[in-house]
Amino acid sequence: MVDWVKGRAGIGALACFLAAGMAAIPPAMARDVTDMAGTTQSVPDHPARIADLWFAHNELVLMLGGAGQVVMTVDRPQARPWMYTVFPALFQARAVNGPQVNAEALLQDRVDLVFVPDATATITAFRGVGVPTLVASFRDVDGLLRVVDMTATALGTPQAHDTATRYRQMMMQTVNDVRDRLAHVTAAARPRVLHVQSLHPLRVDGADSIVDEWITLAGGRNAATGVSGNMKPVSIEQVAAWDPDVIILGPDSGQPDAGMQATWQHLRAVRAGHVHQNPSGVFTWDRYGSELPLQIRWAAKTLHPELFTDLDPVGMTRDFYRTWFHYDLSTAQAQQILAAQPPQPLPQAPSGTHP
Amino acid sequence: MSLRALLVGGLCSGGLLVLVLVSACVGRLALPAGQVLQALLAPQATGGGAEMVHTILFGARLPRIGGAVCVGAALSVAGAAYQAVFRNPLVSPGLLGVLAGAGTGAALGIVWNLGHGGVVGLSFLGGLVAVGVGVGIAQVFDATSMMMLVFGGLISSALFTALLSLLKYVADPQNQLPDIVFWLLGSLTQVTPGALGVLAGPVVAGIVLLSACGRMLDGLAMGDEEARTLGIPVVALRYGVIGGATVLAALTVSVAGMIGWVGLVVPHVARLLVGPCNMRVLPVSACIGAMFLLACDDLARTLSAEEIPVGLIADLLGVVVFMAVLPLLRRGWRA
Repeated sequence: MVDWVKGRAGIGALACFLAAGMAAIPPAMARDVTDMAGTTQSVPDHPARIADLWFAHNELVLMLGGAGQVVMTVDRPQARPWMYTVFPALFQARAVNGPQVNAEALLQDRVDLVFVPDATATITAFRGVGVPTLVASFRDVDGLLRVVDMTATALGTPQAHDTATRYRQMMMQTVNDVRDRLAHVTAAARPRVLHVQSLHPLRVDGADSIVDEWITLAGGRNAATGVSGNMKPVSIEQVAAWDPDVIILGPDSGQPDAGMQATWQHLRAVRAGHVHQNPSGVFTWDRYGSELPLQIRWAAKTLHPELFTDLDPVGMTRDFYRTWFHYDLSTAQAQQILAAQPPQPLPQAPSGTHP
Repeated sequence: MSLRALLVGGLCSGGLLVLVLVSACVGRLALPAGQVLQALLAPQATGGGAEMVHTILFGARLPRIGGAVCVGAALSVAGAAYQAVFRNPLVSPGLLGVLAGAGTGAALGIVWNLGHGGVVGLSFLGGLVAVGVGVGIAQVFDATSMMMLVFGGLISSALFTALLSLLKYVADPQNQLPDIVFWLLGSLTQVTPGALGVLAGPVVAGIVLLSACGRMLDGLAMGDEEARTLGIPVVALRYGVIGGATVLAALTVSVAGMIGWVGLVVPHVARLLVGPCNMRVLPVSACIGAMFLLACDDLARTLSAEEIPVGLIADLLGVVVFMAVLPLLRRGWRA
């Protein structure tokens, strides 16, 4: 009998808790936004509590002025120290491990807008509890620009709309400028570039990836022929078979181990000293983030330095951060980003915040 | 030893040698077979692209070939030994939890960012700990019961599988989780000349020791009481063989990740060829297992530019081989 009474009381408390959570969701869903999967969702006029559950998308929300609204994120200060240095407001957000968040946790945190990658199985559950959920994945430059527009529409602020418009113009200008400078470069003069995401295990980026797109835009040819997609495992023998002219090492690629050293040293790019470290800032430049214009220009200068003598990578990086992130990087900080080094000192969470 | 056993042994050894030579000649980088053979016979030769051939051959191909031979042989012998000890043809080296334990250890190493050496070490340790847990459970309840040993293994496997799932759940989904998944699929890409040097000695020693126990394992097949009347130390033999086979299996998993089916299927093929006598089954299993995994790895590294996990190919081919030998096995059971 006592157990029965306790059970009833527990169910009652749970119901009150859920009701309180539901009541906290703003009732005004005034605007319709169509996400990248083509689904139209009604979102609040001014989303105040955002859960961003795709690593790459957080940077876009931050750039569009939404740092203060993010209350749940999959990015962590240990993995993205520059993100937390440039946007310390992110420390107020709860860090979760991947997009598989319990829908009730969204209610508990009074989340009123969620961004997810397309592979998330929990979209139905999120929408089922009444939280507007937008798929924000993209795979190329065009997709990036469309996600920026969608995110600005979802945020609904004049600042977000203005930033998205200017960002589109800047991206197109960057692409056109680089294209113009490389227009006369023949196919044979375009180096074969291998982008190594990880050395141990050995993984590279093939066709149909954003890496392939920026290699092409920057005047190179992806050496990883026969491979499609991101971060594909290959053997060192396959790398020797490709024998690329240039190797670009991803920010967290590590070092070649003793077993592959001998073959590695025989590669044309290694012998010629054409192995470069990819920069990494608020997000890794080589992947799906808003720093893609920086990546295109950096890669173009790396592959064709004689055509981009006027391009100063440090100045370019500082300008970008000032314009789009409203953060004044020092010269030393810009150099650290270009060398894929973390900030010094590492960002620390203010007392009373989640991490 | 019968003429048939000698013939099978000779054919298997010759076949393995031929397959090793063929494997050295195939790969993603087209190296002329003549140059490869020349580099094998005269490793010090220089000029005419010999350096590149030497680098690829000794830096990439031969360590993998050696790794495939060692891992295939070790898994097959471990499987044959487990089947003999448990008197059950459906048993594989994973019975007492060594695979789940090694997988958990490797995942822990990846989550803790311990680097390749740390992952390999923790994987090996995890395999041993998991079997230790299974055997410990059996010891607590009934040290002499084989059924209790199986139950102990089941519990240990379940426990370490759950821990592995937990580690996958807490792993960083962007970097660590893909590494765990790739490792669990099984691959020989990480076999370096140094790792092969460490692996080869214990594997050869383990295979020789277990093969030397073949006659006693035959006695064990008649039942515990009959074995004791023949003077066989049943419990000591059982735990000794389990220990040796476990170390072999844990070594392979720590170097190459999860590779299934080899330890289950290959001993059956060996029994079809040389009969049930374990003195012959164990070494012939080693030879066939080495050939099987070497063929699988040849496919894994040549079929596409992307590296296909060898565990995946071994699983697929293992099913095909098992289906092919199943009618022959049924005939054997009826007889």
